[in-house]
Amino acid sequence: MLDSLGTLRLTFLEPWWLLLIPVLLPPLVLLSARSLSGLGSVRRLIAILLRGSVVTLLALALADPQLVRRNESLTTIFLLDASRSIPGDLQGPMLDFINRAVGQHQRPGDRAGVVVFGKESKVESPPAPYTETLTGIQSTIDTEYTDLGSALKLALATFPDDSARRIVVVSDGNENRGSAYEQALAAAGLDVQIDVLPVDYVYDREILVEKIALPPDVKKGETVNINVVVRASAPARGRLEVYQEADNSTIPIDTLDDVQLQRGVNVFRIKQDITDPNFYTYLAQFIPEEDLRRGYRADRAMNNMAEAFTQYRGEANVLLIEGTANEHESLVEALRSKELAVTTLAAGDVTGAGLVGGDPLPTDLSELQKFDAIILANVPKDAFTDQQQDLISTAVQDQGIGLIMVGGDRSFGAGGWMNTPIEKALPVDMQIPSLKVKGKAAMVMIMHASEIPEGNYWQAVVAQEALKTLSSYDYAGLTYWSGQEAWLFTLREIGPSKPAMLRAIDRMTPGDAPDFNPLLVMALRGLRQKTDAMSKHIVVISDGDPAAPTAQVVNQLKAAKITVTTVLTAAHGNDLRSLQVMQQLAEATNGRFYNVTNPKALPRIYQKEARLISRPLIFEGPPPAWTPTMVYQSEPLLGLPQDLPPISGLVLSSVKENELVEVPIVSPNPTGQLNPVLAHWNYGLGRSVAFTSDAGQKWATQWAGWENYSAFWSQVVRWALRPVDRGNLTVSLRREEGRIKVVVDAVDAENDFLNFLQFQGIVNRPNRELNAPGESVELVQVAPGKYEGTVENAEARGNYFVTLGYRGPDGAQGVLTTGLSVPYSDEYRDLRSNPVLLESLADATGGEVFSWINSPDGRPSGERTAARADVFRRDPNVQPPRTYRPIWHWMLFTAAIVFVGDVGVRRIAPDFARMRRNVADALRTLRGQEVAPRDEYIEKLRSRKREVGEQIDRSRGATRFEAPDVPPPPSTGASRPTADPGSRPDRPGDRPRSAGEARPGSGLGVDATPPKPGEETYTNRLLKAKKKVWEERDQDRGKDQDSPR
Amino acid sequence: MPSRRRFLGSLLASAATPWVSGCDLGRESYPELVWGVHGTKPGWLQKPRVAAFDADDHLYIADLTDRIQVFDRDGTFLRHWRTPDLNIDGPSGLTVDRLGRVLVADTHFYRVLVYDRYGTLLFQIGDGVQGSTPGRFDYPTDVVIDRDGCFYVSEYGENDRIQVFSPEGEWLRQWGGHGHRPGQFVRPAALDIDEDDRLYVADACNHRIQIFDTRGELIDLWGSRGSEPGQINYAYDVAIGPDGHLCVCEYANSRVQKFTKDGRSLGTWGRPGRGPGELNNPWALAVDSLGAVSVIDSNNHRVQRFRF
Repeated sequence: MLDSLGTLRLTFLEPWWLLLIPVLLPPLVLLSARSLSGLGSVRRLIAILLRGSVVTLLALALADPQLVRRNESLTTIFLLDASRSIPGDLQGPMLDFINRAVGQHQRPGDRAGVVVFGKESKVESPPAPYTETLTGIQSTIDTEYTDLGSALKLALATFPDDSARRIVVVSDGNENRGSAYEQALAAAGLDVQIDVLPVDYVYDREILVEKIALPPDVKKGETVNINVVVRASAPARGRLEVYQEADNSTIPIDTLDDVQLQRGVNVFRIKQDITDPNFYTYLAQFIPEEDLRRGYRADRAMNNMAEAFTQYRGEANVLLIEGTANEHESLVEALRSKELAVTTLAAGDVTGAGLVGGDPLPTDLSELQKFDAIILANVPKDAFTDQQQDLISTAVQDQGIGLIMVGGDRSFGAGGWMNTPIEKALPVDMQIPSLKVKGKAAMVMIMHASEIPEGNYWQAVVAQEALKTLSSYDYAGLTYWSGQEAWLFTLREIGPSKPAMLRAIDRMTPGDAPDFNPLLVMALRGLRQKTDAMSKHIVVISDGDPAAPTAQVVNQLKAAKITVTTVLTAAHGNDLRSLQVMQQLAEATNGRFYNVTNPKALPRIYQKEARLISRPLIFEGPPPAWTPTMVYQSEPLLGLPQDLPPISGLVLSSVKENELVEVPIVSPNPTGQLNPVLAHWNYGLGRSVAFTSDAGQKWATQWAGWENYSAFWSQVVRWALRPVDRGNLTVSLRREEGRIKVVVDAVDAENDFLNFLQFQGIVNRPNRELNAPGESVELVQVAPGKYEGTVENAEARGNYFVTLGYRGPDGAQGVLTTGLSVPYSDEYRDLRSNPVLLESLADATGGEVFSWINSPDGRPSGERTAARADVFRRDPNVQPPRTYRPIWHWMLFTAAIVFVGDVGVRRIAPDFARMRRNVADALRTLRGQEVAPRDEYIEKLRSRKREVGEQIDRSRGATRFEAPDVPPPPSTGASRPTADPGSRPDRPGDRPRSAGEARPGSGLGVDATPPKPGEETYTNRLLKAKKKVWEERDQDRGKDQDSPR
Repeated sequence: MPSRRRFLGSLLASAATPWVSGCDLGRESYPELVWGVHGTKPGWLQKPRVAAFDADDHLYIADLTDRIQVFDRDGTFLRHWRTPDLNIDGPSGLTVDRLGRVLVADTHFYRVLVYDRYGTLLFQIGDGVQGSTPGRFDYPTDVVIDRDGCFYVSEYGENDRIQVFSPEGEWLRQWGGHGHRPGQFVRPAALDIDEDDRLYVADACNHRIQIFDTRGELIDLWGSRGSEPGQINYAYDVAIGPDGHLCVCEYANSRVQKFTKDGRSLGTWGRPGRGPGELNNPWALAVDSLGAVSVIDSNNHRVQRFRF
């Protein structure tokens, strides 16, 4: 590499071509010196030099020369640990350190950036010539965990390409996610240096409630030992409180005052009698004495708490969720009479404010643990969130809880349950072939920009929800304001175009429509054309801002029997007028009006609206009543008579194509198709049942008086119950180092080990994604009657449930469910910093380890520390990046120019003396002096001309031939083929030549002297010969004319 | 090289444009200046919806964040203030009157605010209670003053009407009403008044301009819905230029159309889109003392200045 000026350098990518220079140059010089010997020494030298240059340049071009520019600037990115493990009082000095380090050490052209990290990392300020002073952390990140590795990764991705790079980590080094060291190795590979400033702390008086240990299952009348494990880093005093939580209420069960904690692990045992079957959560909290607590940050109190749960399974417990409170009293009575404990919950109704009324429905798996079956009795889908639907489906599939759906006008397809996880869990599908459909629904959605937060997002969500709830044979259309009134998709049968519609909705951005009228008219026209639609409906969502529809349009809507539901998104607060516009439109057309105060209610409103118009799935005769047929007695129907009471309606559905599905009861009506009344199957670890008529309210009224009513329902429900654990298996879960260890001890009634059991284990995590499949856990036998498995990455806070289905070699099988609670993240377990990790990062990348310098008051000082830490230092380990630019084409270009120069030098001999004279003459002329005539020059020219003329004459003489004499040309009048030099012109345009001009010597050589009379020139002789030929020709022609033709 | 190809392509295209599309489009679609940054920081615009120039050619813009921001003619930010109550919808009417005051139709708070040019609230018209009785407003959309200093306030909602107030803010009279007949309005979106005290009303959902005297007598009306020159599609703003012609901002056609006072179209500028010379549902425009039009390109969160 050749050094050149400043940051520019030259390098060759294929330097071996340079060998051509020593190989080619010497022979070239030798040959040229010989062949150019006639040029004179100076020109020869120049020519050789130029030739040599051409060859050299060509060789250089072949060697692929590159111009290398080094960028001397440096970018430093600070990684600031914002996780909870950092003591609060250290955050100030950390920020101060960054501000000061940048202020004191940054050089012109250098850039600084800040990345903050916890569970995830975010760029707090991108690399820039630093001007902003950090006063606090603006980015929102989850501070419950520390993932230094992801922060390093982000920093590496954030660096600009054109400068040297350094990372400065300001952290305690306690990482509980990712691997920082791996990323440090990656950084080292990229020539990125990592400096570290470890944040030191020791929680020397920290208390951790590590866990509550208690058996996962208890039996009736059993006394439970609740073991609370408390770890203290120093002896301490305080109070220990233990609470019991069940059915959403928390009661204190014990308080130990004035507890003395020893250094290390302390175990407190509390006894508790459990009498009622339920799912219990226990919570223990240690409150140190006031004076002790004052020394700690409040959020470290997080680790002063722990929780655990247990359950007492009594008789079979069933949860019944119904759409209207007490609608299924007779069913509940029947079940209770057969010793099934039933808990009933009524779902709320969807309004603009969200779900109103009703009982809170389960939102967590732990709430479902005490139930063995769930009955969804005539309750619509919109009463449940997506999470709740998923929860129920998971409970069936992964935990073996039974699911029974009982029919009614808000159940199955009529309840909007199609395309839900619940539909997946049931033995029947809600969609039925369109041939069976009695009538269709047509729905137009009118979307108007709503200026609620994330308005466009909600618009897309509601439109998609409505579309999903409608059946594929319904009509759907969507109009909106896209600069003007337009159809997003025209009113058409949903059918196969549903995905396209959903995609179109994703791209939709409804604008601010000025007027309702044109949109309503468009919808009206569209709906009128769909003559086969049984119900025609418009749903308008708006802030009520556009001009109100005219009475004329409203009347047309009424005449066409089109209902309009209006959804007011209250963008403008409590605005009376927009409320009136929307309300009146809905009332005038028999639609519903929703005043949405909570945008989260929107999807449910649309689901409900779509469900209400999409009713073709209900069959209510004719005939008025008919008897369903029991095709065969499947397991739940054993012992029941074949004759069933009549029904007068059911919800249409189709049987899932799966060999597990059994359909013991079918309906003969509507004819021509298989109409399941009772269907059941196994779904995952659980069982599910579909009963498509109702439980005695409207369609199966005669069933309520049927003597076997109780037997029928109790047998169906019992069949679906969660399988009872018949073995003698104990499962224990233990959490260690971020994983959960599952240990099963299996013995039979005779206390013999149960070997070779096959387990199917499923884990449900607290942070499980919606609709994610259950995660399985493998159990292997490690000793006689002992099985073990591990659940990895159990770091998230919350409840973990492990359900184990097992099957023994003798056919014995059962299901066990147990759980474990992770009370707080590992972030709170760290009681001291981990500088070793940070030092290893610096070591791996050749960076420096800085340490805090305290201010006089003994606290770490950001300013003093920064003064010593030059985070912008130029280090040989930090390579500045280079940019390469090829310049071979410039070499080639130069070679071409030099080559032309070489030709020029050989062909052009400049007369320097004459040039000098010319310049001198010009100068003289300028000064007004007379320029001396060029006698010498002209004389030289003349003599030269004469010389040449004589030479020519000599040679002419040698080639002369004798010509016959011709008369001299006539001196006047007659034209001649050519004129003598010096003679007057015979053409008017020719300039007469003066005597002086025609003086001898002005011509070109041959006629230096005029020919003497009598002495013939060569030309004259030629002319004579020519003339003679012409004359002869003329004579011949005259003869020809005279002769007769 | 793509850049070279693009350069040559654009050269060809620009040469061909006048031949292909006629001179109108080629000439009119180019703005003199485009400015505005989308955002809520001071000097940035979050769906601006209304604007007016003062005598010094300073542009006052109100956007969805209930701010009134002042810029110079070229978009340099000068100052801003907020209306007293915040909503997620801003004022939809703003006028700088002959006295240099800034009149703001605070649409969703049912009142008219009168500021000095530095944002000091002088007084308000209307008690801020929504209503259709005289003196109360439903959604006030614009306000102007006549030579005597009387306020004319347009509003829509329950009553699509124009109310007149004395210079002291006392209710004097009203006219209009919801409907399609001459003299009635469906969403009168903007007002302007000429030196002869003729009131020009942009009757948005009737797609027309109605002209009244100060007593509410209809002098003239013109315009029909459409996208041809001479037709209007939701007139959201109207402003009289120094040459005495009317510039009408068409919300749905995303263009500005120039009319003589008797409704003869003199040309259009703009088309729907996001590029320079393209508008996305513009709400307002303002004409400066040099006769250049600054159109408030609401959904593109910017201002474009051009000349007819």
